[in-house]
Amino acid sequence: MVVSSTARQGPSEQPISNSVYQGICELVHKHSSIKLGDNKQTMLTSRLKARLLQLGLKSWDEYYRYISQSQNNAEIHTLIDLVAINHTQFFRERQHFDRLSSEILDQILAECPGAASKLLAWSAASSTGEEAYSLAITISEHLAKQAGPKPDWLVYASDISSKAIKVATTAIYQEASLNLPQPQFLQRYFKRGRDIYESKCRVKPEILDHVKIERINLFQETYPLPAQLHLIFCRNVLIYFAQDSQSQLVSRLHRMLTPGGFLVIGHCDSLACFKHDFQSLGGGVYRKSS
Amino acid sequence: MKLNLKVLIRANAALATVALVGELIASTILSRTTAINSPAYEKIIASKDLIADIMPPPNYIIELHYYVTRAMLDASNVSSDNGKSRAGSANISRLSSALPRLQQVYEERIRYWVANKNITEEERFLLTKDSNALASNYIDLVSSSLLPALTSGNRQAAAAAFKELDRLFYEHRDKVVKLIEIANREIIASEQEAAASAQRANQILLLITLLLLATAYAVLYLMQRDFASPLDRIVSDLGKGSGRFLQVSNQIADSSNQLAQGASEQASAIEETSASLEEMSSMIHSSARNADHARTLASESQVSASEGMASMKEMTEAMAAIERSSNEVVKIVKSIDEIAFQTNILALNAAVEAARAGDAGAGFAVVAEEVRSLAQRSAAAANESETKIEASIKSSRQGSQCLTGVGESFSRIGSKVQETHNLVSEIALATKEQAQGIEQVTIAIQEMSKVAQSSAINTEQIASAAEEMRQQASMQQQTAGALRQVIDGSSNKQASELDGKDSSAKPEPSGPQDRPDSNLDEHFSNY
Repeated sequence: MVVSSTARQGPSEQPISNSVYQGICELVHKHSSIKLGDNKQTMLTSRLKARLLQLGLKSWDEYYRYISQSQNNAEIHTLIDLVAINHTQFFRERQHFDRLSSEILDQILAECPGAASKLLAWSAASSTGEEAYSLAITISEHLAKQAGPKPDWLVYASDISSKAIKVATTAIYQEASLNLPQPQFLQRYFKRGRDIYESKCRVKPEILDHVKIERINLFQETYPLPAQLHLIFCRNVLIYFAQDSQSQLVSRLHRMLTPGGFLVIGHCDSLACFKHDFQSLGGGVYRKSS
Repeated sequence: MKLNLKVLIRANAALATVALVGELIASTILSRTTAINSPAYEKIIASKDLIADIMPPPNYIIELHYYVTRAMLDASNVSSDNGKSRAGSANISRLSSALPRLQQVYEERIRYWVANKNITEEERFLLTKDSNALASNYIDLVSSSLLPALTSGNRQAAAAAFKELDRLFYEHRDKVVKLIEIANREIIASEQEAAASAQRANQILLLITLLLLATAYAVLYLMQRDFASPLDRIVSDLGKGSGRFLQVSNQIADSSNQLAQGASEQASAIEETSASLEEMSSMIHSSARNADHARTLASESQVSASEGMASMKEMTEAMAAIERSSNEVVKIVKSIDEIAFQTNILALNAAVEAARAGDAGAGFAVVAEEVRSLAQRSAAAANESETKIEASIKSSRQGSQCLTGVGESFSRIGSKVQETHNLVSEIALATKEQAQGIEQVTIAIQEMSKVAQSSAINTEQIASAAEEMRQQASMQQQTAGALRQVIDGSSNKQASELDGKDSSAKPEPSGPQDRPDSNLDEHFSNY
């Protein structure tokens, strides 16, 4: 048996032509508003190489023809899956979660209409689910400490990447990469995997029941969500969009919140460069005026 | 029982032995039954004897002589009876009819014996020459003399011929007797010779059998030595070799599986790193944008501060102007005060003059009084104005002092904003540098990712090749086992042991993604 030499002479060895690169960038922007820079050829080729091998295509031109002529939505989803960056972690940018339990949740419960009966939060770019589950765990912890009647609550989780949504739905993670703020969260909110799931863990059903996962493109026409949300986490996603898209998205998010609702953006995101109706509370926390 | 090469060789040896010994015994028995004096031989001889006993002997002309004698008797009876026809004698006609047949048979048999090689020369001479000469004479005489004499009724001639014939017959008979003696002697000699030769044949047969047996054993021994034993050794070596081969290819398969798994994990780890870097890169770009924005804001603040400073300066000047004009006003007020004082004095003087004038100055006195009161009010107003203007000048001075402080604050703000601007510019620059650095790292990581991906693919292929090799090794071992079975019938225990080990040492690591989600709960339990 001879190891096939074609594996070493894949299409990624050929340089991607500028027109094809621009074409793919436009497709990606059209379907996801993700803005690929002018100098991401290497990134694009290395991400798409395996896909080309899988499809048995010989060149980038052939791939571009395949993806643009077929109007193949599934293939475009795959392309976006490959291009979208799914970098996330449990309790990433911890300050936001600390502020949630120290002030934001209390304010929401006290002041936002409807929050006392059912608290609605949305992790708008939840990637593989870590952010949504962190949010759910934080809310669950906060409500557990609260005296008196506890409101019902639900966390919507969404992402553009079908692959990431799949992972989020299974809710299985490497135990070593959990990075929980409190060690007791592990046994409180996770189950330990056995056999083939050794060294992995899964979010407990009582949390899964409060998390509703859906694939949402933030630029699709309507969101399949109620427009009375109390809290939106939309962190580290604005940076991938052009400024006008950011502005458009932020005003849409504003409309999705009840008066007094909160928007939390990433430390690197900024609303400074365009006009918006939020009141800034600092540290990436914004509030819709009541 | 299963056949194998060793058993076959041994069975062959046994078979050859049995066959040869059996053949020996069979041929001995057969030769006994068919040998001289054997029952079969005796039977054949008896049959021949019987035929010889009951059949008239063709070459012994006793039958012809009988017919001749009977014809002669008829002839003598005719001569004594005297009434009977000579030609009507039955015996004479029998003779004349039997003669050609007997002569023919006789000559046939003589020709036969002339050609027959199985009798001695002496016997042949006696039969075909001595006896034949007499018998031929006899037959000729019968046909040439006796029969014509008898048919013609010439008794004398017949009697004379018969006399001659009778003599010839007896001489012939002597020869025949002699021939019989010789033949009997010959039979005994032949029998003895045949018995001897049969014994010799038996001995030769025994010898050949023994030789064949010896050869067969030798060949089988050689087969065992030069064929089966080396083959046995080869198979044993092959078995061991294929066992080792299987072990080694198991190791290779396991290792290459691990390698493939490692390479795939590495590739996905690098992919993750690459994604993190991408995100970091995006973040740094965003930070750079924000820093740029902050720098712009700082610049704008600085401009605003400068504008404030300029306004401040104008204001200070305006205040100074106010102070100056206030001082002018104070002076004017002072003049007004003096004028009021003078007016008051003048009014007093006027009042004195009016009083002196009496009633004529009464009206003037009133006017003087009014002027005096006006002068007093003017003085009071001037005083009040002065106080106010002094207060105003004081406030103006305080304002000026404040303005100086504010100016200083503004200039401090200006310098701080400048500092901020510089720092933010540095941050913006540094972020750009960082972005470029990250770009480089990203490119490096992506190169690594490319290599890792092809490694993953290659190791995957190696793993499948190794897996195939393992299967081949297993098959080879089974083949060696089968060969061993063929050669010595022993099952290859080593192989089965290794097979068992092999099946246990082949965990198929498959990712969780391959499994259905339906039974996830089975795999997860509380901590």
